[in-house]
Amino acid sequence: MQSEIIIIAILASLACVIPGVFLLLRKMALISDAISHAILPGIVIGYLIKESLNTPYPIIGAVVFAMIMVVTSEALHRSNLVKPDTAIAVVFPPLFSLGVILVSLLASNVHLDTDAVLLGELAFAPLDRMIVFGSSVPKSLVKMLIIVIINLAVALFLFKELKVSTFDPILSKSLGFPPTLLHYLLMLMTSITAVGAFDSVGAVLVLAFMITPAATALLLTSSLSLMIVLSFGLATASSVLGVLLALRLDAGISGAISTVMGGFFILAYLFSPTSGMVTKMRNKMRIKNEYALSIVMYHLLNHSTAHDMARECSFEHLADQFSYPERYLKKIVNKAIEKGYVEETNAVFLITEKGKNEAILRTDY
Amino acid sequence: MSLLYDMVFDYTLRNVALGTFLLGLGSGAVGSFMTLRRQSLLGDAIAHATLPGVALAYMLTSTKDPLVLLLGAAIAGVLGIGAITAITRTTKIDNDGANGIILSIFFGFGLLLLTYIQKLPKSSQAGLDRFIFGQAATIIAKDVVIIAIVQVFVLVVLTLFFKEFKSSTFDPQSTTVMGFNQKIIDAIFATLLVAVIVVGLQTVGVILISALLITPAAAARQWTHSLKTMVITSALFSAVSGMVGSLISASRNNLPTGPMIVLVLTAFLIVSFLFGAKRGIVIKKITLIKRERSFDQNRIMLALDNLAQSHSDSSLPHSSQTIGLMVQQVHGIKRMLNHLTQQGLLLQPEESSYILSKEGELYVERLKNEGGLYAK
Amino acid sequence: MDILQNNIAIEVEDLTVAYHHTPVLWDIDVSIEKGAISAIIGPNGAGKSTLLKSMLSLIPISSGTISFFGNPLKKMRRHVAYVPQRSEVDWDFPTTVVDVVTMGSYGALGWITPPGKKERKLAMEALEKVGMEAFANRQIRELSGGQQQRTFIARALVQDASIYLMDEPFAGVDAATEQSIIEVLRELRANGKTLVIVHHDLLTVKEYFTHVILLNVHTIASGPVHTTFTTENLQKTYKGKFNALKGGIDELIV
Repeated sequence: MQSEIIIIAILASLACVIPGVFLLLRKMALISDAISHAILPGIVIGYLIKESLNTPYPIIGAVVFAMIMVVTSEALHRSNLVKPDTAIAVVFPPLFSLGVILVSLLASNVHLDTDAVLLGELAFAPLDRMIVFGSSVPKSLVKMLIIVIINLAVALFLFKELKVSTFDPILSKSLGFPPTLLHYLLMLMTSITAVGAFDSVGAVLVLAFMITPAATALLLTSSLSLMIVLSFGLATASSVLGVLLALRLDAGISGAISTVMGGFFILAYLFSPTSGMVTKMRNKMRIKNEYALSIVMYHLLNHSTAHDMARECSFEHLADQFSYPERYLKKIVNKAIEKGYVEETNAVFLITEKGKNEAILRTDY
Repeated sequence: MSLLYDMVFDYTLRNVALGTFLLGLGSGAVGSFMTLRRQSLLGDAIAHATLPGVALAYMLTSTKDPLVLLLGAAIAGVLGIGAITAITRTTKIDNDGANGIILSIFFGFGLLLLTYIQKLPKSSQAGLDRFIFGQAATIIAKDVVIIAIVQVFVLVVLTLFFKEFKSSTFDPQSTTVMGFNQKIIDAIFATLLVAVIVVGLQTVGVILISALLITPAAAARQWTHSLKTMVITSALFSAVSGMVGSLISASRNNLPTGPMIVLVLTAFLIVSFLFGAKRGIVIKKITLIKRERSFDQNRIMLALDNLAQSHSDSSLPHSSQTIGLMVQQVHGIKRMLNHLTQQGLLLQPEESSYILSKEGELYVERLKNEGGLYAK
Repeated sequence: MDILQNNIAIEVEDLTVAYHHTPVLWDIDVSIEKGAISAIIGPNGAGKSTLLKSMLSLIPISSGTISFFGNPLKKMRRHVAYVPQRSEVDWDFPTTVVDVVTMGSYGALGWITPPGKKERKLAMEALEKVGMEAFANRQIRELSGGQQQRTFIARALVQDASIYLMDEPFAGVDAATEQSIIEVLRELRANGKTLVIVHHDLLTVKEYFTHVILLNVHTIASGPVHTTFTTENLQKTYKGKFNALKGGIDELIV
């Protein structure tokens, strides 16, 4: 049971990651949020046709409403009525509202409640089973596996096209990959994934599964293929840890997985070797130190032959000359001595031959 | 009618109507600036980001006092805005991505806490999940007072700093050069945003509150080209929709408040898209038709002038067929010729034959001076 | 107002601006005389707009100092006006021409105080100077490129500054607008104002400007047009690209 939940969670997160990477890079992250909300009425109407979620109708309904959402918002900003972000912001709420109202009105005779649709409950997923090749497996496991395979196939088959149209739409057009077609393909992929994942993950958290691993990976690498591989790893790790966390706390699974994903994001934000805050601070410090070293040596160089050398090259004078705190200046001077650029005799700092060359090199750009 | 009667005399309904009306005023006004600042999706992110604040406030204090919960929500909301700003400033993740990350991480964490609270012995999170969907029927007099205070605060601050918000939204760089610190303006704006979102949570819920900000602003924009009018119109749209939507929701069982308000707001929006006086689809179409007609009219006038110049006897009238040959693809040419005759720009010496009048000649001369066919 | 007697209006020393790890401006030294109309000239990506913006603290600088009449910008904001590129603002913003021009008075008003009749009158006067008074109540989205530019200049006039920094005011405007803008600039100069203008048209440099700053990440040369705007300096500024331009402008260069 527990292992089945973990497998379903992993599959759901992998399925979400594939469109998510491209959406993030296309600066369209929030369209996945909009889509995952806008499909609700489609799911409800699809459900009503056979009073069951195990027919193709909810998926068809969801895709139809996802396309309504995408096409309407694009038409609104293309007709210059509103800006693109506003267009998304005004289209998905009424569609979602329609869905919620439908569910509420039919609540008495429908086994579909808003909490489950929105927030999902992975813990119940293994209860609904089917027979595949003679063995009993959860239906959502099969469903998510199919979606992962489809998404993976599309991503592998059209990798080059998706890549080019993401980074350079104009080049893409000239190479004969119509960006519009690829755009709609991506929208289709996003909506099928969202509808597949909603009953395990919940509509709201589809966004977390799509964007967070991709964004974390983006902080770690700038290569697209590596980014996808890393996202897969992060999604898998978050799913396993998230399920374990949820079982431990006896709390909701999708919330727990999102929280773990958030934890990974924070770690990457702080400690990414390429773009983390710690690295950035360290770089900033290093540049500051190097700059301080350069100007101190430049000063010593300029006064190395002057008659007032004894005065100009004392620590007191250096402290006067530069607005650095004394302790910091001491550290810089010590570093210069350590590197053999400067020698100290009778409390006067003398620049060495090596230091002279270095100072000239550093200031002559 | 009975709804109106209840509104005045029924205690609950009066609170609901008043509370949601006030709620709309501030959110519609603040939302106007958000659409212009291209932050239409920020409200959604911040609203979701408040959830862990609500849950933590409850866990720490074990009370459901709205003031405590709202304070928790506000703190989480401010942290959310700070995090979004930090991510967009310091990484290559764009604004949309940062919104999405903070929305989902915070909301996911909030959900984790809520489900955790739910399973705790001796406690019920009933009333907490109200924050997800909102429930107008639970607004009581005390809530109305809180809402009123916050909305007055928001509107006063917005009025005081209207000049700063306007200038920094239109041209942030020049505003900075003139000595206004953009960070201070942003911080004041963020405070207002968090304030309107937080007080709206109980009524509309986290998922739909951003509609209360953005939809009325998008609707108001269609009616005016003045910022001040837009802000006021948006506030009124939002207030009226909030009240009407929540009253409809309160009038029947099983009609959730947030979604009902959103549908009323969207009705306003659709009407505005169609009939908005400044940018609406209909007015644009009418302008286009008018422009086409004046273009065709100018073509006819210039053609007649041409004909007059190329004939030895310039006082000879020309048949509508000849004119039609010269200005092809003009629909309803006869009607247009008659119309021009009625205006006194053409004379009609014989049946179906026309020539420029004195006034018409002046008109053509003016046309030629002012850029030909496209002049009005 | 004594400080404005200083003969050097703007002094830029050792200015370095880096974006990520690449320097956009490197060790720039420029000093601009009071009363000059200076053009900042250089190829695309030379850092022309960046220089203007870093002078105004709109982007962080890595090192260097900038002073206006010997003082940092903070003390001199009242005396400095900025005209950004037209494309940097949203012309679909719901407002009128006279409203935009009134914004020029916001700096003098300070926080909270709203503009009143006096500010509106100043705005109307500025609009008259640029020949836009007939458009005062037009929506800004209905303006042509040249009209937008003149609106921006009118807004800067309202500030009644001593130094005007303008980013490509002649880009994409019609000949009539260009003429009316240059007239306004000359009038400003006649009143002792200092103007620094990012410019892209080499052909008009000699006619419009008194001084020129040739920029390509480094300052290549700066000084009066008649000594600085030379073939040799232009070649250094534009490198290979210059030969393509050369044929047409020989006679325009000193």
